[in-house]
Amino acid sequence: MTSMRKGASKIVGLFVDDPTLAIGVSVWIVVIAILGAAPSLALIRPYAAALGFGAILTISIARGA
Amino acid sequence: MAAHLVAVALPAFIASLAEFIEALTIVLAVGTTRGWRSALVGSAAGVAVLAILIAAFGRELAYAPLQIIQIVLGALLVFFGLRWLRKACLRYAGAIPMGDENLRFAKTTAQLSGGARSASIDGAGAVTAFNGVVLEGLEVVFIVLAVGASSSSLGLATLGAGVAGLIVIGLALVLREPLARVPENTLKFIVGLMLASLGTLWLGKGLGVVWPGDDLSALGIGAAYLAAAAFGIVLSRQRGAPRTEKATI
Repeated sequence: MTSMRKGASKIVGLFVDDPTLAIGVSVWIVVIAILGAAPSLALIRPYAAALGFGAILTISIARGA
Repeated sequence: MAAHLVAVALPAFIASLAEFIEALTIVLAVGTTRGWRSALVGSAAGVAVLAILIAAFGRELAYAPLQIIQIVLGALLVFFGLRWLRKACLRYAGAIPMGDENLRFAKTTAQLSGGARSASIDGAGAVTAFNGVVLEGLEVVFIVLAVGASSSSLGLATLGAGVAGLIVIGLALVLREPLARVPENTLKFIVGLMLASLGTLWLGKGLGVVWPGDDLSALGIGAAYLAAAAFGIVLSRQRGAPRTEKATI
């Protein structure tokens, strides 16, 4: 149980330690979900997911802390 | 009988092997970077949950909301994986200290050669191993139910999946020690890359994304993260002066 609590606090800690990564990933998950509502955009969803998360990672590393 | 074995046990074996290897990747990743105790506790908890689910629901598990499970566990893996990857990149960029890898390597080797094990359990590591085992285990259950039910040979399908599981456990025992010899930050970089890639794949599946090449897309996603990480390291180095940040993740 303590381990589960620690795991949960790590996720909360992610938002405190690195808001760029945590908020960016959260927002992008919502964007990918919304893109699913438009059948014409279905083909770009895999690329949007990989490239979007990749861009968030790059920005997060470049920002440092 | 031989034909039945090939028609039922072999497909279950091959499909389950792929799922078990995905679970193995995560458990090994957790074990080598966050400690074997955390990996084993997380895996054991995952197996226990699966056993309870199978005992409670049996064939009804085929109707489990896999998409929701994929979204939740996939998102968690993306968060953890990208966080580990980012920290490893910042170490490569010199933005945070590397830490004494030689000391940690000696400690890990001592642990593997039968020395004292750490009594503490890393929560994030245990949760990550748990997620991997539960999600991949559920997929194996679905495979067994699909292959077994369609041919009325649940036993043979279970046998095929069981053999695949044993092979993967053997593989884990063989790979455990060589992995401990990989430099710590390199390992954390690779682990972060793998967790983020698998997490993105699962999250996408849960959200209804149709991945070109299905599970093989994890390789393409990994390549995208690799390029993004390399670009991030270059940008971070260009920013210059080292920043202070906790070395631990």
